Amino acid sequence: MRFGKIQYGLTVLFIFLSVIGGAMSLNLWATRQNIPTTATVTEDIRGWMTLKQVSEAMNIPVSEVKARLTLPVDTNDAKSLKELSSERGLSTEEFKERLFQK
Amino acid sequence: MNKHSIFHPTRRISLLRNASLIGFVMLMEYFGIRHQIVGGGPQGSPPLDSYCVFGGVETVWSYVTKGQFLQKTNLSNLVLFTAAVLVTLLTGASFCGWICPFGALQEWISAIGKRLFGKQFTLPIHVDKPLRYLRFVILALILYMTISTNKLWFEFHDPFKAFFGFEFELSPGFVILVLLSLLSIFIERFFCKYLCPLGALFSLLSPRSFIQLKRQSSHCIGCNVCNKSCPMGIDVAHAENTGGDCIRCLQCMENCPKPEALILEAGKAPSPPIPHSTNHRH
Repeated sequence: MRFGKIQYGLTVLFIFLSVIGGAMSLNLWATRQNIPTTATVTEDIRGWMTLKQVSEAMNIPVSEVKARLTLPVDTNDAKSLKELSSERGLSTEEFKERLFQK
Repeated sequence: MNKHSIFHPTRRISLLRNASLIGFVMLMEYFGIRHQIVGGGPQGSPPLDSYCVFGGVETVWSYVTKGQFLQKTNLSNLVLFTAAVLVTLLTGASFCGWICPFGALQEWISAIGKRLFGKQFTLPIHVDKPLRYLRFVILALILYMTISTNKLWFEFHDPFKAFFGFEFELSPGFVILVLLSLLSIFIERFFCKYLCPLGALFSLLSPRSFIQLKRQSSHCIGCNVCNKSCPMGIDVAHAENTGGDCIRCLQCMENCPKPEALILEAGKAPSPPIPHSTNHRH
């Protein structure tokens, strides 16, 4: 069976998009990240996590999280580590490490 | 209308392919910008890694052995990888020529090189041939490091992520991106030919694809126009079928003066591929 050039190109796109569309319709398409339920090492903490999410994952109070990160007590709990670190001119990794420093 | 214009009726396939590539490039740019603006996590926008086909290759081991995805990857990566494998098994490595946004960038940068120098440069065959195996070495290295570190080891070296993720600060990925962009000015699809780990994987599946790009020697006049137009440096003019390195961009078919010399045919067993040779291009 012969394929024309245009027919071939459309077939390529149709197959690729059909698999994605099929997966979406079957609820097999997931892109969002889950909040880690426990965090014991720096790698478990993500830059997008808010202070509240960090406290829940590390099972410590938010005030303790703020203290470890040397943040003022009135810092907004809904701010992410990435936002807070960039406000202070630090890298997110550097900031995350503070959480586990004894 | 100028015969070389992409809007010329004889170049409809190039127009369609470039429209497809522009669409996928824009989609990736959108995902990258959205993630930068909104941020990640359940409350934000997914990272670019979640839309990466190669992420599916990297995370599959962790998913099969531990039932969990590597950080920043998700089920979407496995879906995209499955889609790309299915496309390759049915149509050849057309993902590289029709969908891959990073391949598109290289192709467009090469177009600048062609305008500047009037041609693209090729490596001598004794360098070109062994260098193509580098893709497999890179694939093996990435898989080994990903499995042993249990994270996306390649992400810091990934030029795709550096570009589409707007990570333009000095990092290994950014340096590789700049180097590849410079090399692409001189050598068309340098990354695809010599470095792409995903392309390496597809080149193993492509020779067994359902639809093959074949040369009918009875119709071929041996003008070598196909060789000159091939961005992957395949010796199309002397092959029965174009083999694993062919990205199915169909530029050879578009430029061929004999409509029956190169055909896309399905359902027959492939003939043995002929080795590529950059020396036949000129």
